Amino acid sequence: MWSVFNLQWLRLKREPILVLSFITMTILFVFFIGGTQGEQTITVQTFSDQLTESELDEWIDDLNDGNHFEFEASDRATIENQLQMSQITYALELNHDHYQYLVGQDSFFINAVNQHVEQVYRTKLRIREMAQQFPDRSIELKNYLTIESESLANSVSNSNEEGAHIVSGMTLYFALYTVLFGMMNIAVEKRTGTWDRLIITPLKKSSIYVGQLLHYFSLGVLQIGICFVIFDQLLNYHFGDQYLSILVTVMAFIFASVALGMLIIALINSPQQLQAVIPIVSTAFAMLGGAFWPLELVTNNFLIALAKITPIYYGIKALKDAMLYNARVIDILQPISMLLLMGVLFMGIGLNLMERTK
Amino acid sequence: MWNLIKKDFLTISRDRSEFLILLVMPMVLITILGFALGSIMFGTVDMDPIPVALIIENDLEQDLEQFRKDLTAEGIPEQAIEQMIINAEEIDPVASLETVLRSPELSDMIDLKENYDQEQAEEALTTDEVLAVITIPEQFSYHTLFAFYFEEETEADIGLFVQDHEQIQATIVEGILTSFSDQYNLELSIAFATEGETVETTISEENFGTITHFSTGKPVSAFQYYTIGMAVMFALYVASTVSSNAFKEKKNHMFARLMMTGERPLNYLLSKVISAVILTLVQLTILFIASTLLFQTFTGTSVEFWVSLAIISFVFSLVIGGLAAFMTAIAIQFNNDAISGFFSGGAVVIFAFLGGSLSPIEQFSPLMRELGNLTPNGAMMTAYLQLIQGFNINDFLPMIYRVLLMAVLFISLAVAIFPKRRLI
Repeated sequence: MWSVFNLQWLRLKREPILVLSFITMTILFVFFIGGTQGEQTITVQTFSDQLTESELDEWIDDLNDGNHFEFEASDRATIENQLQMSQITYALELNHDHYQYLVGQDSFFINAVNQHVEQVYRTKLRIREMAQQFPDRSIELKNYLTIESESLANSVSNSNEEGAHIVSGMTLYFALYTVLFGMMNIAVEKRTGTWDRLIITPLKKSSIYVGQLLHYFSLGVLQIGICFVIFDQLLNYHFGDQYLSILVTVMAFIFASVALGMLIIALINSPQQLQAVIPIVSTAFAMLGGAFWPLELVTNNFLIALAKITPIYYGIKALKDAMLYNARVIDILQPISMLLLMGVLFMGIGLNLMERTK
Repeated sequence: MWNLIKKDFLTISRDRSEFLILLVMPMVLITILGFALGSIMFGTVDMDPIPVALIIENDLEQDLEQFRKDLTAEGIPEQAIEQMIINAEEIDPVASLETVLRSPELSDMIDLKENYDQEQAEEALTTDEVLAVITIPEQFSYHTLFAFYFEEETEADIGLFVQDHEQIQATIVEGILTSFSDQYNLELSIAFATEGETVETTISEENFGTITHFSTGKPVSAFQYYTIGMAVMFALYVASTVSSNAFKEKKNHMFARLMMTGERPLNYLLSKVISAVILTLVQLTILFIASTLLFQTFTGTSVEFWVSLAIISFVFSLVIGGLAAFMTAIAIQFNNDAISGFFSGGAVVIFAFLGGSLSPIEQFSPLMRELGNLTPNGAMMTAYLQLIQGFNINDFLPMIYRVLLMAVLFISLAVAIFPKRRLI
């Protein structure tokens, strides 16, 4: 078994480019997708046809009082160009007594932006009205009632849920992708005949399988491990303290992925077909499981049910619990056991099919 | 060369499964997209009304009594007190909040339940029966009045209890409450400054935040965006499939046999280009038509729209053909299929990400969008999006030219790399 295991590593050493590029890509992607969304300030291009430049700047200063949004003054021509080239999806147009949004493309952010803008706009206009009608009074804005908000979940880390969701989702997506692509090697081996040669050797078939699968398993865990270490050290992304929980989750997820790989390869054994099927399967699972967009947006019950049979759904859930809510291994037993169950199921069916079609 | 193309099609029709997967499986993703995102309309999310429990522990009468006692204790004359009590009733926030929460405008977003007590509501929160609990505590009105008339720090808190702060429903409810409290505090501060005299308002909030569409078409919906994104991403796989198959042909000596017949090698390359172009066109056609029939992605569009769509798709197929030729040339020259693997495994995802197929890239920075517009799929996606937004063909010609240039570039490179000798 160990000889097969080592054999795979030797193979990898000869052609490391593929795997290395995957690892690099994962890091780059999650860096861009996750890092920028972690402390996200939404930039809104703002322009006006009616206001003068100084009036516009005054408005921008007022709007920039918060810390989630950044409003930038611009002009209609630049903004229209940017909209056309899809560089921005919407822009804010301010006028004397109303404002509107110039929109090229749906954006999830407009609602949040609007809440802020509406508040600032209304306040400023009202105060202006008051100043007009009672010019000798001054106003001091006080809070006469406040809102005290609590939640059931007590977040420990300083990263918000959105960021953690994206980081775990994307990392797991790319890890699944990498593992599945790596396992394509098995299909290639079957084609080129090395598989059959291994079978003839005194090695037990189970050793061959275990050696191979162990290799892909370690590769997957290594990849996620490297990524998380880089996020933690270089990107200041805080994962909380529950390293054990994270490790266990990652291992369970890679186990399920490797098993899924076995199943797919058992069903489809041509490397060319696999090249098309693997991206589709991993992207589909990632979409269903909630790695691309938060599942709360989905209202279709069928899809929500489907989400519960994707490994990525449980992977994200367990990782988030570990990272944000300090879940110990005992707390995340449910998603982990689902992952293990799925792994065993996929592996069983996959091995069976693979042996039968001999 | 027509024979080569005929050969390709015969091969495909014998081994349908491979290409069937390529052509049809993106539909799986689009279907998922359709069901997941199709209901998201512009800006707002089409969710079920959020069940919110409202608990009012406040007793206005009691609070007014308490307030009256305080005023009397301060030694304020009886008549002034009466006036203040009347005013107090008018500015009571609880009544305003109730009106807001029960208003018909909010009835789509919130399903207000007022028959819980505090314990029952918290219980309901843990079981998903309600997703937010709004509590107006005892003496709330009193504290507000106290803060207003005696100019003290307020102790009036509206309690909001949610499952998770970042949950979308929670942010919506928080948003409603924040909006209410901001407006209330503002009006009360104004009232304080004007000593109770009303400030006339001519502000009409109807015009706040209306959406104007940038161009003559409708804005691009999330669903359209992802459909296009997935379509251009999976078209890239056609290129790697074609080159991978070419490599297979080299491995099983079909290529050698073809060269022995005296067929010109570049004709072989050209046939690969044509196969790739045709495959991509078929794939895109199936995707767009099926998606429109099933999910109304592009309904309400003119013939002109479809003509432009066809033109953009054709240009895109050309660049895919170029990519296929490029990779085929490399695979056959270096006798190694790693390039197809690397492309389909790695480069496609990079291109897809930069081009915006996986998520709207301009969120991150306009610079990334620039980079994306340098990839074939990114440039095409921008062209498609411009088309949907209603620009006419002159506006997205730059993108089309760019992609045509890429196609020419790839084909030239392919011709240069493709081995001309020692082919057998």
